[in-house]
Amino acid sequence: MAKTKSAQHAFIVASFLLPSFIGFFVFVLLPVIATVGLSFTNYSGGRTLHLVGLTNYFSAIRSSAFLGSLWVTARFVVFSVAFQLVLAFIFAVMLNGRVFARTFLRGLYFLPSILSSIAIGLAFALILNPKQGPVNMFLQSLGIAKQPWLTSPKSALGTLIFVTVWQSFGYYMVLFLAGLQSINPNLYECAELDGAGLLRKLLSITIPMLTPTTFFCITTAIIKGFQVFDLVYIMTGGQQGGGPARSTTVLIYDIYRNAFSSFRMGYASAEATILLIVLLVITTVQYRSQKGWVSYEAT
Amino acid sequence: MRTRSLIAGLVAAMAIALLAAVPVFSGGTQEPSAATSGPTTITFIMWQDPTYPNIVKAYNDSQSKVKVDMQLVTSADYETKLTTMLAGGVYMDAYMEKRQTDMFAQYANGYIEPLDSYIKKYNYDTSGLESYKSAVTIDGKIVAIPFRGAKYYIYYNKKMFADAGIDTPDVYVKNGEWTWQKFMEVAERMASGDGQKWGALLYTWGHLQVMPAIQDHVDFITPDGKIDINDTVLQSFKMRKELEQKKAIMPYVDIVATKLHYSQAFFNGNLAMLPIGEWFPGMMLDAKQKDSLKGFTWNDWGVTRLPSDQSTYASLGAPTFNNMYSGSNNKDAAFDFIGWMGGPQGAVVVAKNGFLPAMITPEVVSALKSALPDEESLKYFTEKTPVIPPYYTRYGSRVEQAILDTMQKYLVNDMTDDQVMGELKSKLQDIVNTTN
Repeated sequence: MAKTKSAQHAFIVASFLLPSFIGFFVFVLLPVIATVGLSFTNYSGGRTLHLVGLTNYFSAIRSSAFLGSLWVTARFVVFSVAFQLVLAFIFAVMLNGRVFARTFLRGLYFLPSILSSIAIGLAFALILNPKQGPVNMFLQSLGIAKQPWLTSPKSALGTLIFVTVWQSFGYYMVLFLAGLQSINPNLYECAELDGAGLLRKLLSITIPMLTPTTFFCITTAIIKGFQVFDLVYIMTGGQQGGGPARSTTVLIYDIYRNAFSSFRMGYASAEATILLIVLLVITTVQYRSQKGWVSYEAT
Repeated sequence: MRTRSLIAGLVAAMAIALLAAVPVFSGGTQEPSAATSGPTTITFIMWQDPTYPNIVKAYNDSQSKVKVDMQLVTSADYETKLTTMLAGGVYMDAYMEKRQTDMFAQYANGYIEPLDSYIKKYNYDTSGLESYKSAVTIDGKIVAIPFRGAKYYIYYNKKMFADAGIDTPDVYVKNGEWTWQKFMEVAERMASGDGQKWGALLYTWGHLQVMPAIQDHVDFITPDGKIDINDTVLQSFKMRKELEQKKAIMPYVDIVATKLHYSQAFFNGNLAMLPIGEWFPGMMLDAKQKDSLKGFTWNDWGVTRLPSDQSTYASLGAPTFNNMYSGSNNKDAAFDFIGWMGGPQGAVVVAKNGFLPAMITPEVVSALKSALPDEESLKYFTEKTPVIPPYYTRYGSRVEQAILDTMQKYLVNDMTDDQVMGELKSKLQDIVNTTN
């Protein structure tokens, strides 16, 4: 009798879990397995392919284009994640207090994160147009020289980081807001009784109590940073983008170009697998290191 | 145990359901069912162009056996989308090739049906296409039918030259002075220097950055995998950099970032010279019909030769052609269509739409008259001169990228001549080493 009930329970649980598992299997796990498998072949998008062992991996490691795109991606991730999270934290702290039109402002800052990256990319490409973009027209009206936002290798990556930060910091702000609202107000009251000022409360209560949220934000922002593609594609010239002079060729864009422009899908799969390994290593290190700084104590 | 069996059973059931559902996601289901009567409908993939649909419509109107269903793909991303469609098994009967060198990989992957048996079966006359035969032959097999010829010209705005009091490029051609150095001089004189008027526009494609080198028969990588570059490549890069620095041409990065199309730049009426291919009169016709020409009229433009530093003039270009998809269920109908498009009847329609057809007949020359502004332009447009296909090997698609990457780096950095050539050579060697 007990066994029958247990079986029924397992059947019900499995019925609920299987649909999402199948979705995960078909749309995530299977492509990952296929990508890893293809990375050992010379697949070029057709019906003929041969095993080439680790050739694609050795080619990637020796390729200045691959290493260059890895370096561009690393810079993009470091700066975009840092700016997103610092801004998100500052705005979350400000909008957690009594501020005029607080709810409206929260919605306003969150809004870009629900917009399509394609639409945002197109809009900023127009706004930052080197000749007739409103930003440069405005600068010119002030007597300031037009700036080559996306047309100089010195500023193009910075411009992409700016747009990414503008688009995404609102999302992390909302997460920080949720974290802030779960902090027990008694902690602040006790600290005030002990004479703690704003800075002391921030350093000794707010930041430590937000470490689980911060950990989650850092992890997801890094993964998203490594996966950036759409803004690069839209804002730097589509199929011929990634410039000027490869200054914005991030790893995913390099993968795209190798796969769909040069028909090197086996090689592109090796690049994607290396990216997967890099992300796994970073996430594992983060996960392991959280014991040293993330506090899950009850609030 | 029973629990495990239940779960295993459920997993198996879902897996079977999944397998049954797989064809729904594959391209196979897009295959049209065969019609029991009426014309055979074929699916033809082509990029969006204002005039191509007219050619397909003319074929559909000319007979009742085959109906072509056009599938238009955006022009800017055509190459990558076509690759995805082919790899994804999307059903089609024939398709247009935009970047000709992609044909090598597509053929190696089994997507292209060789046409020799169809040419023999239908006794198809290829005599008019002899000059392009090598461009559509792989391993001794004909794999495509060209419908559009291949040639680059200088298109120029007569009104701008008249306003500036400077001779038009055709004058230098007649005097035998039309070299790349002269082109630079003229471009510089025609430009206002403040971005209001441009002397020329060198568009963003790789071969347009190295025209003097291509005219010097530089292959970059030979078909047997040897690096083949010389000083004309460096000269080509230097020409672009110097013209950009003097504000005689629009900077490369500005064209890419603003996605400015070369046709729009010419239609705007502030561009003196445009080196571009034989399809451009079609775009001019469309602009004329849509009243898109700004500050100049239909009679204010002309066509002449490209500049050349060689003793024998040669233009560059590769023909545009149609491939038959190897997975087509309607191969005879598909051949009928692509054969018509490349044949004498199609050539006249192609010419009427402002393109230089692959096959030149007296009817074609007559039809081209309405697509060009004057007799002088018609003379240069239809003259018989050698045409060199740029880096026309299986390495071609990657050579294009190597040229652009090296040139962009050169444009934005201080590099010595040796560094530029070393960089390009290294990229080309990498292509040879890593091409399967």
